[in-house]
Amino acid sequence: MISRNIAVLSWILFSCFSFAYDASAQENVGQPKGERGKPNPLKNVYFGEQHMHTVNSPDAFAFGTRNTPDDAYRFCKGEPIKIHTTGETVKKKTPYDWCALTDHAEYMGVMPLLLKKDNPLANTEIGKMIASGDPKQGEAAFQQIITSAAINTPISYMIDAKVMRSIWDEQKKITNKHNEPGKFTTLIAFEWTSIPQYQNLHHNVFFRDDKGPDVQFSSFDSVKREDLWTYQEVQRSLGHENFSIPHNSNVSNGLMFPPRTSYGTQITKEWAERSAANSVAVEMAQTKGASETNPSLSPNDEFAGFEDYYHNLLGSGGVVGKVDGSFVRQGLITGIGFQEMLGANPYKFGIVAGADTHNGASDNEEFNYFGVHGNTDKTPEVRLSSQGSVAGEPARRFSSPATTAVWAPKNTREAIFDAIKAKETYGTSGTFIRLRFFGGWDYPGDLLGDREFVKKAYAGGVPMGGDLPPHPAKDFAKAPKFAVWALKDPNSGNLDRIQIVKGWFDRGYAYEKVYDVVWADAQNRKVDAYGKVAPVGNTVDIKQATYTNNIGDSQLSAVWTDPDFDPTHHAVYYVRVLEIPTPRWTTYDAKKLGIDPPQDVAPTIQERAWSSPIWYTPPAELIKRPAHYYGLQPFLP
Amino acid sequence: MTFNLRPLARGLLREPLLHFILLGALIYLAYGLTKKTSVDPDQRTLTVTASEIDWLESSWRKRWNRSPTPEERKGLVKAFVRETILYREALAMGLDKDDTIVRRRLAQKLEFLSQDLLQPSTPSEKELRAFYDAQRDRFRAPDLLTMSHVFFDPDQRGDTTLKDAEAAKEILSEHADLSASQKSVGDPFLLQKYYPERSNAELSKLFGSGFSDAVFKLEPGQWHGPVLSGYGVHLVFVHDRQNSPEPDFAAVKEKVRAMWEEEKRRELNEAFIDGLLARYKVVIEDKSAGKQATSALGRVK
Repeated sequence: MISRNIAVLSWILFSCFSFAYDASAQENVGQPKGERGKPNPLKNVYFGEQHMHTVNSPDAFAFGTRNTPDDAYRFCKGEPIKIHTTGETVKKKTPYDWCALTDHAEYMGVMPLLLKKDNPLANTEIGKMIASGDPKQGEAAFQQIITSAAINTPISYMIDAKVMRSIWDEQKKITNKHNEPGKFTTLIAFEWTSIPQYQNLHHNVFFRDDKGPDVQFSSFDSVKREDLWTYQEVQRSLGHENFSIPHNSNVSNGLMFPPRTSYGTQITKEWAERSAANSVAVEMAQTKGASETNPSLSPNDEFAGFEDYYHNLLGSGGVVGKVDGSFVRQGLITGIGFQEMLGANPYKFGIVAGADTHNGASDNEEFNYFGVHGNTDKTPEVRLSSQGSVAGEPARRFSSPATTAVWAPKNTREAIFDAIKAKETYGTSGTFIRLRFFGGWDYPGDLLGDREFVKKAYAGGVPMGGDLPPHPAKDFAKAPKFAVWALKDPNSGNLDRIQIVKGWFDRGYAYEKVYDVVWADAQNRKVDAYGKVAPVGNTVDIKQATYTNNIGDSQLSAVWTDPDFDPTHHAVYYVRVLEIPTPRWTTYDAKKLGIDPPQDVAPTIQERAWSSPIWYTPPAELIKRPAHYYGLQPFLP
Repeated sequence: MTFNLRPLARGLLREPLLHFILLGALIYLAYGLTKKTSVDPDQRTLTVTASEIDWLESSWRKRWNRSPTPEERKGLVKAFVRETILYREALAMGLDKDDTIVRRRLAQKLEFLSQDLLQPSTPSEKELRAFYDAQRDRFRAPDLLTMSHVFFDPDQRGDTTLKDAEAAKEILSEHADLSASQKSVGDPFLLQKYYPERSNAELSKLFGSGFSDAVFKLEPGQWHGPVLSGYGVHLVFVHDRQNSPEPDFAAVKEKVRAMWEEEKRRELNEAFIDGLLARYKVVIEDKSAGKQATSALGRVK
């Protein structure tokens, strides 16, 4: 901190003596007047939601959700909408800049369609059951639909190409209607709901163009990710540029980041390249839990296991999946292991985070939580009860929705899409923390005091989601430098600390380490004998569900050099920013009811942001390949 | 080793709780035997119709992708009969009464049904126009503000932050060249120093709502502050404020129509509930006075 203060001081002194007008200064501060909506080459951050369900998802319909795609888009834009399950009017405190709806491709829009008069399915068996007006038959019809989706055996006439096409066209139309270039972006998207033997392999698929594909790809077509990639490649060749984003690796039973293909064979270079080209990002957190890492995988990380209350494999009736292969940090490190072994990284993911709400809204603000699964958790009473809710977990174990931040030159469909594809994104647990992260070889120590910080950071390195430029020749002792700057959400808690998480492979073994880079209240918080920074404290009044921002800082920044750098090791670095503790949504609900918060979830949480990684690949002549990669290859004695 | 149970048994027999339980069980049994708890005789014929069997079979096919064997078919029908009889008996015993889940489920069913069936009519041009006229402000584009600011970081400066900002305001006010003078004071900050043409909502996203409301009230052409945000202390220079004109009706017609429909749908729904409510006299007992107070609720909330 001392060096930073000197930097600030020298910057102030320097600027006092240079009063001449500096035109280039404008570039750091944004666009001149009259340029509203013009691209900013130094990029703006756009907060948004890339994972929401509406009445058009059959499970959401079954939960009683009647909010439409139109409602969902309007909610994201900051307009008040009525939640149909309660009649309550809800409105975001801070609106989103962009939003994508990801209704399930399986039976998308079929349920609400069946209720309409003159629907094209009126003459089918299910259609007749519903038209009969007999509630028993109607109920049974919907149950049949849900069951057939759960066991992945479609009712053939319900996925009739003509009907599905008309529903999908309608979904695309409403999505395009809400896309306002420069103001608010929507993306055409759907969810491929693959879940072989209850192992979650769900991916959302997003498109860059306004036309979108003619057909979606559903788990009825295939549950294998290789087949999803083929669909994506075919659509790309037809002019529908796209990518996919997997989610809930935490309940994938190891299926999300496996060392094998879906056919059980060893991953090849071609497989790794296809994976990286089609699945560009992964969700770090959402309402069904955070997926960063698990305490058993990261025993030295005291912040591991964040919002890790949701365990059941979906639809399994209470089976808890295995941890190995199910968490993002491990997946990223597995990826660089394959990079070293094969020369291609199958798990080269940018970081996003999402809602996965099934109520046509995304209540990412902890203090503004109104449930996520329709009737199953619509009131504080049912939300806090110990009764099993969706997938058998009590509703209180679900997290409030998370958020994706995108660095893009402007707010248009193309710019947002391209930025996610380039991985210049980060995820947050729901708050709007602003985060810059750059990696390079020659950043000066006073970079952060520089008025042209962002411009110089781009010029001298790469932003989050990038590959470090080649190691400077003949100076292999040189370690990479990372510039990181975080600013708090003005409507949330102060910042506790910035950490950099590093993963690497050495002689066939995976390693990880978490570094505290810069922390708030630094004069009172020292590093202890174990290298840990003291906790920031906790100001939350649990009974009143309030906190005060008299601990923590509003912004933190540093230029950090990797102290353990070995130029022969492949490495991956990402940033984690922690806020000070604030009340969890369950604590706000408990306050409303005048009761104590539930015991099995923490009453306070440290909201956080996770950046997309920056990767380091050694020059070819330095790479040493061991005889065996542990965990990536079958063990040969 | 033997164990004498007799004293224990004798003790139990003298236990008042046991007498109480036995007496309770006796009363319950007597009540059960005397009260008619079975279904009406004419309801006691259970016909499993051909269409119900069809439905059972098709559910089976959906699940297993084949028809049931005769054995399985028998089992399906047997289970259906069992369920139906239990259901009828449960109804006759009044088990549906005062059951929270049953109550809620039925209320929901009617609510969904009404929501799905009540559709507003198509509005006339005149209606839309009137709707628009009544609330023109809602359709006006937001006013835009152009501002510069300097940030003072309380985490760095502590108790002197406000004083520092006041002092800096004097320096800033003396310099004509804004961009240069802005450089000489304040602390590094991640956000931009200059924001052209931003709405209140946009500034609120960046600085928090208290800050944006405050700067929209400031006079253009001079330095103001200190203004507080969620981050700390700011000095603000307002360059310009553009009040946006009222839009042309034709340009916002689609939006007007959408809002009109939304409002109508809400009205229809509420009218439906109010209509139901009108058929009832609602009596709410006053807990403290122990008296009954009749209350005409305008609507269910």
